[in-house]
Amino acid sequence: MATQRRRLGQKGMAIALYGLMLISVIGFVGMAVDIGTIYMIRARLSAAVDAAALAAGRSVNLQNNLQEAQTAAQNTATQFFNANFPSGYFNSIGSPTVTPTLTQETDANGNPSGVLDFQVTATVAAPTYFMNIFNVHSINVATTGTASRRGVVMVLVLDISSSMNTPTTPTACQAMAAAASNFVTLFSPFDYVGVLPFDLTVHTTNAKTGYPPAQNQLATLSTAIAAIAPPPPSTTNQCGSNTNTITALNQAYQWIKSVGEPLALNTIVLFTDGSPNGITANFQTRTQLDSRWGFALNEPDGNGFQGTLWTNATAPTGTSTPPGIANSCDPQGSNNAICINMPTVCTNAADTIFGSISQTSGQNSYGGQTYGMQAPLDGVSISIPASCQATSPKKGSPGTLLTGLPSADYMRQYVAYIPDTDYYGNNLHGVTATGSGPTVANGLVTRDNWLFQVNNECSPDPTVTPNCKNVGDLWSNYTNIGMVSNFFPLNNNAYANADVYAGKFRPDQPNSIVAASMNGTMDQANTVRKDTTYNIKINVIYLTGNGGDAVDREFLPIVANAKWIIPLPYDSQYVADATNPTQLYQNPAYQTTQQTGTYLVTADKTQLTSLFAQLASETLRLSH
Amino acid sequence: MRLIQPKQTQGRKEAGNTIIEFGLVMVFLVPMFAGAFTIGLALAKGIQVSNVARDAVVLAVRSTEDPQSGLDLSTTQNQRIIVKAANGLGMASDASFDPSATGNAAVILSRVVMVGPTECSLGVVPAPAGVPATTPWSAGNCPNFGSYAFEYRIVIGNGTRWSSTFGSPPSADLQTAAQCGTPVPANCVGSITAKNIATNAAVKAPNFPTATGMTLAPSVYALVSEMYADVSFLNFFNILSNPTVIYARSIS
Repeated sequence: MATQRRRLGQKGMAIALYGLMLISVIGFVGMAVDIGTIYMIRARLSAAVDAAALAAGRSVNLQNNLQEAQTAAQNTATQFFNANFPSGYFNSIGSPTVTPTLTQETDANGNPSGVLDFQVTATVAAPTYFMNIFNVHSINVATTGTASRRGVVMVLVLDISSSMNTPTTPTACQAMAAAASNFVTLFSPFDYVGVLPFDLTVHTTNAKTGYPPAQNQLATLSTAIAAIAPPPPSTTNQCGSNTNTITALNQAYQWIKSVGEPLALNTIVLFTDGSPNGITANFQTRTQLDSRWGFALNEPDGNGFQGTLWTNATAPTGTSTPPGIANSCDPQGSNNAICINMPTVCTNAADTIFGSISQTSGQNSYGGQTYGMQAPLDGVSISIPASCQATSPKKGSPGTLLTGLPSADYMRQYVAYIPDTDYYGNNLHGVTATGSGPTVANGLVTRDNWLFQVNNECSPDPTVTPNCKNVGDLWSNYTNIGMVSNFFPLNNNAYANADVYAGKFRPDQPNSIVAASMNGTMDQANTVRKDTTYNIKINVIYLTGNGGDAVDREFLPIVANAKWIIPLPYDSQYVADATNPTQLYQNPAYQTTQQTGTYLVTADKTQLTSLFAQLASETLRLSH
Repeated sequence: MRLIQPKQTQGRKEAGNTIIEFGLVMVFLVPMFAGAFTIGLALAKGIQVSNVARDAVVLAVRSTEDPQSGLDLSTTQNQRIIVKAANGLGMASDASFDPSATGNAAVILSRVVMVGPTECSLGVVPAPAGVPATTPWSAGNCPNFGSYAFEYRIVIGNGTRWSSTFGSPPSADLQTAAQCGTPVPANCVGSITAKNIATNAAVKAPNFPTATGMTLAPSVYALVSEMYADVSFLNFFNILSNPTVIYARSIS
């Protein structure tokens, strides 16, 4: 009976047990559904804040000031969040709360490190379905997304040499000013942007449109750059003098280091219309009479320009002078002539003259007048030793009586030679070669043996103006031009007494100065790029065609460390669409361990706005 | 023996009860578990699709902002990153995770820009006289100015089955490797030339603001990754609604 009762009592137990189990199972399934919902919402929320933070990171570009940039970042973050997480997504309740914040990272000393952090935090209420039974109607889901933007420290180095004053308006100087003025507005006010115009002197002061890189000065820079050469009909402009690219690159480098943001995108943007022609160095003084190109500044006897100690020379055997040019000391100082027994004023050969020399006008390959000394930088003085300030009076150009110190512009006459290393320690013979080609010698890519004013090539595109330019060649292929070398020769009658400088770059020949300048510029660029603390990238815009200077296919790509070199407009491989070239050349000095810069070239000044925009776009990833 | 008889009778009466009860319970349990299983898998796949879209847009951002990173998403080897992330969604054509053009999934990457001064400067060359120094860019001197335009489109996977929700640029306007030159610059394949962006009406993306609910400032771009995945293989009991395609989008 007891067993029967027990069995009767167990009747329906299985159902009850299953019922109990069902409650548990339903509970677990319900929990799974709720947690799944929460997880689903959280995953979407997480994706949305990540996308919003990334979008905010680039929205600080194109703004006028820090406040606008901050507001733009916050608005962009919210907008992109909303696009990724629509209101009511997966039945989420209400609108998400989005909190974007922007902070500048600082280094150990509390200074900006060059990194902007964008953090987006979002919270939304996820609905519950089964937990509703237990009076839990929603659960807040929160997540945070972070993105970082490398700040930009950029120095815009602008060539404002005289060749920018092209004859038709708008001049190249005006076109450059308009394009560069627009260019700087594309950056973020959080970026450190500076401007460094240069001719033979590099202009570091506001009065000369020089602005060290700083935050929040884009509008000031834009206005100042535009004022370099306002658009037509204005004829005012600051373009003049020569092209001291080495000092400009060095100064830009110093400015970037002075900002001191190693984590930033440290960049130099170099705009130039041609070959550099300025050398800054401590030049050894010339203390003995010798023969070289140029005119006699100082007549030793004080009686007119044709003194008694020097004589006219005959053309050296096997060489030629430009047609119509006599071999004589040229009192006007404007033509090519070899002056026998060029006078001296310096008395101590151990002394040096500090300053910059350059070519005067064309890249004369026969020798001729050069220019300098000039100060390499605003606020920096040339230095002339006392041993070169001996006698008085001294004559400069006709009718000008110089008293005491000779005019600095004529001090090049007392320079013995161009040294192998310039003031900044650059090798004036070139940079290490990593490839091959006609400009490679002794392991260097060098212009040591380069003659510029030869090898005229014409563009396959008839719209390129001018349609033909000299592209240069090795001196060895032209045995009857000038002294067939950039260096003082040994045992050459035409250079009596100058043979003590045999093998040294000649300061009396424009071609030599250009060659040494190009070598030094390539080495200066290499010095800048090999700085592993700041990892500086050099981008270059090259406007060809101005003036009579030769063009060079590989010089500026080497400065930029572009891996591939696009053809010049005068190259037979040139096609009008530079973005789609048919043939690229290898950079013979490409350094794989250094930053690869962008190299852009055009012969058309009206394309400068586009090229600057392209550079901004590639630097900042604005759109393209 | 009598005492045992009732027991036997009762045992016979109860015989099969367990099975019946089990069956009754299973009527509820099986659909519940099946539903939970299917929905759970679908949710998991949904999260995976969402994550792939998210990863793809992050890669696209990285590729755009740092071209030297080597993340050119037009190359098969880089597309494998996305295909691997979509493992199990039928996107791969082989064990190397090469994308399948006939598979069950596709990722569509787009870059859309509001054409502004920067795009006009890049695409209208030479710039008209006085622009932008004295005359601003406008639709008069730059036809696509003020419009949304595609800059880039790459489709990974089955691009014939699915298309973007906000339209597609003509394939003829997307640059091919042959058009990009040799060596092919990073991110060139699939891009649209600056000239077309600024001047070609065919590359406009007029549906972008309505499809995404976004408005962009001039010269600001958005990268969009869209993913489609057909998960009909999970639809064991027709629990999921048709069509069984999961779509996720990420915009950055």
